[in-house]
Amino acid sequence: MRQAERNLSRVASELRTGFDAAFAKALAPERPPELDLLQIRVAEHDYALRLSQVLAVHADRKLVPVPGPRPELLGLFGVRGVVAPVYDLRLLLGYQAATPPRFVAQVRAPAPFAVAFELFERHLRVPESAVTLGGSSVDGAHSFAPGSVNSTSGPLPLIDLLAIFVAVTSKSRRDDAPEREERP
Amino acid sequence: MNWTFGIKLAMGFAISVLTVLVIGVSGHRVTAELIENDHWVAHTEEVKRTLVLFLSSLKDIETGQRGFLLTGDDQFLEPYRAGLGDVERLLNDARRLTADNEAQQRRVVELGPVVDERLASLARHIEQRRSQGLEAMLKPGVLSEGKQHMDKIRRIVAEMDQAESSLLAERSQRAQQSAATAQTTIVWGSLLGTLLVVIAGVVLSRSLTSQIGVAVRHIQTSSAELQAAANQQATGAKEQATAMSEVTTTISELLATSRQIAESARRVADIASQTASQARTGDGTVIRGTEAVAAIKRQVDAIVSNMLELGKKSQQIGAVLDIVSELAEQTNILAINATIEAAGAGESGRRFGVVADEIRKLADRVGGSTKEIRGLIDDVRAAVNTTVMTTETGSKAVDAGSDQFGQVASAFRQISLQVGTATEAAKEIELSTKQQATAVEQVNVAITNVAQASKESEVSTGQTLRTASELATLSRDLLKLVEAQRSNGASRSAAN
Repeated sequence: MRQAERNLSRVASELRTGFDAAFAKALAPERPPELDLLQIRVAEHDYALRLSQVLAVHADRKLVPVPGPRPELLGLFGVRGVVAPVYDLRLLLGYQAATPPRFVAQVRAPAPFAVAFELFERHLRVPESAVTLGGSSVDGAHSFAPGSVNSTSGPLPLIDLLAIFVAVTSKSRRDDAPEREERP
Repeated sequence: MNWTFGIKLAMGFAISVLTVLVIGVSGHRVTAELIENDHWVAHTEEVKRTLVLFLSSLKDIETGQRGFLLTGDDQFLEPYRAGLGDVERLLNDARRLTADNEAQQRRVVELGPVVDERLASLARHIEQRRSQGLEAMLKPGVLSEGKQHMDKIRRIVAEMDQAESSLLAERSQRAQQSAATAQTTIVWGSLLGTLLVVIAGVVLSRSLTSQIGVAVRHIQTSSAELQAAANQQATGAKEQATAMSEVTTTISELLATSRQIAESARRVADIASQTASQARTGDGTVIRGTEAVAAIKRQVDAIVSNMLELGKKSQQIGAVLDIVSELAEQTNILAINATIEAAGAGESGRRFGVVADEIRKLADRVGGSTKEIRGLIDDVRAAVNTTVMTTETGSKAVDAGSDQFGQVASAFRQISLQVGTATEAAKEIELSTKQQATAVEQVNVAITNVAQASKESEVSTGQTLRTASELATLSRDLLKLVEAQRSNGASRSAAN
């Protein structure tokens, strides 16, 4: 307990120092190009999202279920006047979904689109050289996660949200086409 | 006749002694008679020797007188003077020696005047020679005057000598007869006595040999049995001595053990007394302990209550921490979203992005710290739960301990009573053990005496065994002697 108390005191002191330093610190000079990532957890597996492909992250948002034949479509949610469909990233990546996901990431896509996942771990900032595209053999690799990134906690599969958007949208179009043809 | 050894031996010796007495008495009587006869023979010889000396003295007197008469020298009168005394003395001797013989006494009486006349004649001639000289002596008839007297003296003396010779012959004959009788008596008496002694000896020998043989066989048998018994007794005495030695050693060890037990009992009594005192002290200590346990129970109840309150506070802290964590998470998300918005705002949002990034970092670290605090709170709650459970268990244990303290107090009182009883019992054991040690000492002394007696008995038994062996050897030797004598007697009987 004393060790934990000392750690907490140390962390509090560091936080306080860091917070104060944030106001005193000058703007950072030009640095090598870096890549902002979000580390999330999907079906007990860690993945990384490109922050550039995310519009916003929300937690514990209420979803409006939409009846339909696609189980990965969890429903709709609205944010700042935009209604976006929310897809379960676990089902999209081929996992089983036992519990409702808590977090929703609004994808920067041509049309409103969002994916839901279980847990938001942390924000990552890595140099672009840490990203490997294609041919990834990392555990959890998928067609929607063709690359990987080396983080301090190890290599993470890098999910391509735009590819998911494209695939979901294309599938929706294929599913919707027979219906329109059947309509007079 | 069933005579005893004493009677038989007495009879045998009586016969021998009687025989010796008869022979002795007979021999004594015969010897006395022989001595008497010899005495009379010697007496006669003395009378005859006196008579011879008497005549010789008279001749000396006459010879000296004639020498003086011829020479006129007084020197020749020495034999005369010596002969005068001898004649008188010898005549008296003859009178004394023949006092028992009347005939000889008459001759002595007859001889006396004749001798006096002859001596007077000799004395008268000596005076004449002195006064008248030799011529007067040469006158005829002067010197022949005494011849008649001398012839008469010679005749009387010859008669006396003849009488004595007759007596000597008679007495010598009687002495020889006495000697022959004595010799006969001694020889035949000795033979008779020897015969009687031999007969008595043979009879006694046969009788005693028979009885002694039987008795010796009995003695041999008895001595053999005695030897065997003594041997067994010696073995038994030796075993007894050994056993008594072992018993003595065991008793000594028992005595040492009794003393040790007495010492241990005394220590036990002391320790029991101390234990009783400590038990009484312990009773008070237990009562105070019971009170202390009750106080502990109250404290434990207070601890339980406080721990439960701490658990509630921990839950509240957890709830607040949930809020803080959620706030940190929301802040992080907001910061991320602000970062995204700032990136979308272009160069103008770059400064805002820096702030948002710092906020995100801070929120991220707060979230991490919140997780750590969550873990600590969980640890605290788990520790509180464990402490509460442990404390409740301790409270129950304290309750059980309180009950057990009551039982211990009761047990202490019971122990105090029992220790008192044990103290009394230990003292009684100590006293009994001391009495036992004293008794064992007495037994040890008695056993030591018995062991000494056993050793002495062993020595005596060994002596008895040796004596029995010697007795057996003696009985065998005696039996051999008896058997040899009997066989010799039998062989002599067979030869006869």
